[in-house]
Amino acid sequence: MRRRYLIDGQTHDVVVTRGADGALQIDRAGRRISARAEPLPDGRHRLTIDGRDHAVWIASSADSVFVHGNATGAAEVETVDPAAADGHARAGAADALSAPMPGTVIAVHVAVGDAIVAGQPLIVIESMKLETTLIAPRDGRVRAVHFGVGSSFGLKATLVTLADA
Amino acid sequence: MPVFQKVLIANRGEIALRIHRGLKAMGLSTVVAHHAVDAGSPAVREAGEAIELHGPTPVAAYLDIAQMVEACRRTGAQAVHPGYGFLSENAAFARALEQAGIVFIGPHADTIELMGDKVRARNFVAERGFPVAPGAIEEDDPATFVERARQVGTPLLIKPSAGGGGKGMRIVRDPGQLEAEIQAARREGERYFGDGRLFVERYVERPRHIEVQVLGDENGRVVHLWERECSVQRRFQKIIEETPSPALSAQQRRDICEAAAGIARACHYRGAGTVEFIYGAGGEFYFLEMNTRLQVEHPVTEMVTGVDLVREQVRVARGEPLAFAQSDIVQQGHAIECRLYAEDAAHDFRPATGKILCWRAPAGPGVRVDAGVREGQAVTTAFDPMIAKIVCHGATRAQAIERSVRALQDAVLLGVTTNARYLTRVLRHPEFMQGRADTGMLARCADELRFAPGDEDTDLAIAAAVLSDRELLRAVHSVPPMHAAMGAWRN
Amino acid sequence: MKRIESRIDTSSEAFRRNHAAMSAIVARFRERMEITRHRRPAHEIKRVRNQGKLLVRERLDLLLDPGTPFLELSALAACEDYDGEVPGANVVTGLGVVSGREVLIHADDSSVKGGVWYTLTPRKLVRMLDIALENRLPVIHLCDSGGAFLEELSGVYIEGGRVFRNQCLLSKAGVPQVAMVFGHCTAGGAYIPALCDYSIIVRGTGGVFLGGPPLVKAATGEEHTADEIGGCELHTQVSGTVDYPADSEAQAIEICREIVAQFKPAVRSFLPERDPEPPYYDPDEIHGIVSPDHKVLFDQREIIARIVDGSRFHEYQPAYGTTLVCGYAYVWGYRVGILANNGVLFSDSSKKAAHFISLCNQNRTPLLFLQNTTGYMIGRNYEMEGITKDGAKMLMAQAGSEVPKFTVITSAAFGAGYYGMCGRAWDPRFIWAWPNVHMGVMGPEQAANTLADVKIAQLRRNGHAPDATEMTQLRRRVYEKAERESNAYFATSRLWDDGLLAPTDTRNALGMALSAAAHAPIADPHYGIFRF
Repeated sequence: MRRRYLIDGQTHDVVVTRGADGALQIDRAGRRISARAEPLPDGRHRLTIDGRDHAVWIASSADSVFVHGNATGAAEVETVDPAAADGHARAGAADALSAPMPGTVIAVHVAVGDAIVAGQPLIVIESMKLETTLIAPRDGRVRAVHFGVGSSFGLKATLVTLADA
Repeated sequence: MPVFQKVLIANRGEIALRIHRGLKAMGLSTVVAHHAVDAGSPAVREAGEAIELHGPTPVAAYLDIAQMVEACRRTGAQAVHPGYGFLSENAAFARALEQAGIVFIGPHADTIELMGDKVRARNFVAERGFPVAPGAIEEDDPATFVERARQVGTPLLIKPSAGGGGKGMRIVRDPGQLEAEIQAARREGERYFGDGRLFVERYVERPRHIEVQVLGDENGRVVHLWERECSVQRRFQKIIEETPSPALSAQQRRDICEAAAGIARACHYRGAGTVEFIYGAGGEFYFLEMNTRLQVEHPVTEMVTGVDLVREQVRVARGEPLAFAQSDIVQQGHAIECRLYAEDAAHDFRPATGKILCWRAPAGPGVRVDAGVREGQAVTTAFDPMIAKIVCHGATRAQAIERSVRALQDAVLLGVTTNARYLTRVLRHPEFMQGRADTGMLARCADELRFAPGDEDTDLAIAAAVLSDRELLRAVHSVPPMHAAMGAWRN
Repeated sequence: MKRIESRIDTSSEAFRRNHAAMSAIVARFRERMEITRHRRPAHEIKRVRNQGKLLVRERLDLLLDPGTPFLELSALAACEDYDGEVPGANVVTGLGVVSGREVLIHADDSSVKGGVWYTLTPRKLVRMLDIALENRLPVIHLCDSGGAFLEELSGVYIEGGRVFRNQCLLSKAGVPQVAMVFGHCTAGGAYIPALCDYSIIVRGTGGVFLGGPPLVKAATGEEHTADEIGGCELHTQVSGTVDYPADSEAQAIEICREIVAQFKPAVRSFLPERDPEPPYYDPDEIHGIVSPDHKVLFDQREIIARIVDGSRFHEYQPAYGTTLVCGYAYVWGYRVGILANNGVLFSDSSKKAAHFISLCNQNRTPLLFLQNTTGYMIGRNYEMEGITKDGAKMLMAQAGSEVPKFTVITSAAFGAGYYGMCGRAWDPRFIWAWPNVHMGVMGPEQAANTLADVKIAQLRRNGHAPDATEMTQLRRRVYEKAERESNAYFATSRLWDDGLLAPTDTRNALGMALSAAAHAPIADPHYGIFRF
């Protein structure tokens, strides 16, 4: 399987396949190693790379793995999602943010020209006594806000238009 | 003689823990004042008592004098240890405590005030015959400042009078640039400190930072506990400190330490303090400033002298006389402190944040670790990024370096990027190994100190990432064995 | 199970001669494969790049699990048609592994003439979908085609419909399909994503519509951009024709891989029974065993020894009907029953085949036919012996067989022997030919002679008696045509097989085919009337 890692600002594209005797084969930039891991009683792991043992501490966060080997100290290995990196948000990142239901605008959090980041609240609407906050589907800039506070709109009306940053 | 049983610790992190342990060893009880973000910190957990501070930001809480005094009242603390930073050099705090009848474990407010004003302190020291760098102070006569500055000669250093931490400092090598640089420094001073006053000093080439630990009692007796060298700095921030300094001969060492003790004596210094000097390649040294508190790097002094500085601070604060004479204080062996920072050396030392997932302090002969973190704790940018101090003692400097390297390699801190590997590269750099480091070393050697992971380091890191990626392992093992055995065969 | 004792002398003159000739044939084959797969005019590659698209091979690399094999099917389809200008009939099909699942892949190759369909394009797709149906294999469609080539409309029309029909049947059989829309899916092509269980479209470049902008304008006068008629936003937000929007091809492929990981686990009707073991004898020696001249016979046991696990073979009826070698062996751990020609099929060898096919159906053993046949024996004596009714028994046994069958043509495939040894019409799950193969109703020489005789007789009837030179020229012309039409490339160009296979690739291809075939259940065998 493929993974893209970031270590000390350096990108590494890695291909992982099943190796011999239950080990994994890891290929990157013309380099091939065979690796396996085994937990040790003290909480460390024994990593065996091409037959050589290394006792290391490993801890994982949401998108990084931290590893401490005695010879090298700690390293952070960040996993990069290559598909996400060259596109926008997975759910779709159209320029037009349209109303998921008909309703009324009750708050507008951005103005035309504002730089926005994915996930930032843009506009709050009310429909059927339910408040919904619409968030930015991607990084960019606000090109237009089509309805002001108090305005009503129909289903799938374009509420905010985005432009690239 | 002031008597106290309960001491409020007005600090956080490793120093709060170190002070707590020192006080506890003396049979005193402690109260750790803390902001909610530190509620789970080791100091708060270990302390018998803790009291919460409030503030618009966590830092603001630790700087709130009225709240600290109130915290003492509410907990019945009769003394306050301020640690370093925060309120430790705040004369108003010392006075407020005094008025409330609470002992401030530190020097007199007047001393704090004197040494807190860089210009006054410089004048004070110069007037008493101690060496200061040739210079000119603007407020002595603003009209002639530029002319007087020119007379000092280049290279020179422009400093804001109200400054500290290297902010707003400018080096001038070309006399023609002097006026322009003064204007720029003034603007910076105004921006950083709200005070545009300046002074200039002769700039010492390849300067080394040497400081002397002093200790004075209520009766005006002052001893020094020898020097520390803190030349390994990055943007005026110390990262490695050691004692003894490899720069000094025995005579120079006596001269500089006695000058420091003399300055402390002249200001009737009470408690633990540090006199900082700039030391030039030609052996000349000039007074820089005096820090009227416990220093971050005090453990190296403790390790070579065997003196517990917190204990001595408390004894002096209780009005007890110093328990030893100058001749009792001997430097034994060599000690080095490395400051473990949450920062990313690969990305211009930007602050690193995250949750500490694993923390295993190094241990072994001659290894002391002062840390105030625990696993599960979040490291944020709310405070100073220092996570721990790794202090190693050896019979010789070489042994202390070797132990420091080993200890840094053994220090396991996962979840937050630290400068551990950077520190080991500094320790192993020839300039440091040969005792030639000056304050410009890190900037000068930035390229050599840049980490270039070897293939084997990268292999290990990637193998760890791969083998702890359950989703990846599941995907790899979902390939039928025959297909995996065929590999990327194509017909 | 005993190892086959090879009798090949690798130092012999014949071995060396064969080896050199076969190696040249295989090298030429690999070169043609390479050209078909990768050689494209620079301006075509530039056009694809300018559209922000990946080349089809790049897409496949991202889609397939790394470090896993990909068995391309009919890679040289159309290689002898359309002046050889439509590589692979503008489409890549094959069997591979995605998210650990064995799947069939249809990937349009838009690097030649925008990937338009020629008559052979739907034929290749239909064949792939037939394989999917027979083996119950999920299908992934990578759509990027300009639609039917206008000069081939009539050819595409009839064959194309079966693509969609097969898609429906797959869905009906509970076999999932995923479509990724990278380019346009126009007219009938629009049904490909619409008939899939899941579909993904790439924003900007993907489009799905029954009528593209020019057709719409011509029909109704409406003017729209392709994106307005059937782009990503329209189909993922409004029409619901496509399920997932993607911002890049890489992202679409990631989504697809995640979808495939959610398929219900494959249920297999048979499994490897032993740990795989490479052949004891070097498969490369096949080059020295097989003569490039299909008239020179070789012992197929020597081929078996270089394909099967450990070169081990249990021979059935070793002394009876010896022109057909039958027996059990293992390929990648899978048990197989092998039928291999060692000469002309006689009555005894035909009866032996019928019996062995029934045995393998009884014990659920997939059948492997190693075909090298010039047909059934002819002549009065043999007819008296019942060669025709014995050949019929062999065909009847085959038609009644329910276990998966695989055919590899190693040298010659002529006459009714091609049927009896599970030729295309007898529904082998996969059928391959080696690049040295010759096939046809009769050999090129027989064909040339027969045809030339007829022509000469015709000329004579018309009062023109050809002289010797004329007759030689005529014979040569007829021979050359027959020779060309009997060679492997002519056959594979027209989809008579599932591709040509280098002899040394046979073992892996069979392993993948066996594993794929195990996805379909095996029914109980039942037969028609055997004529005794």
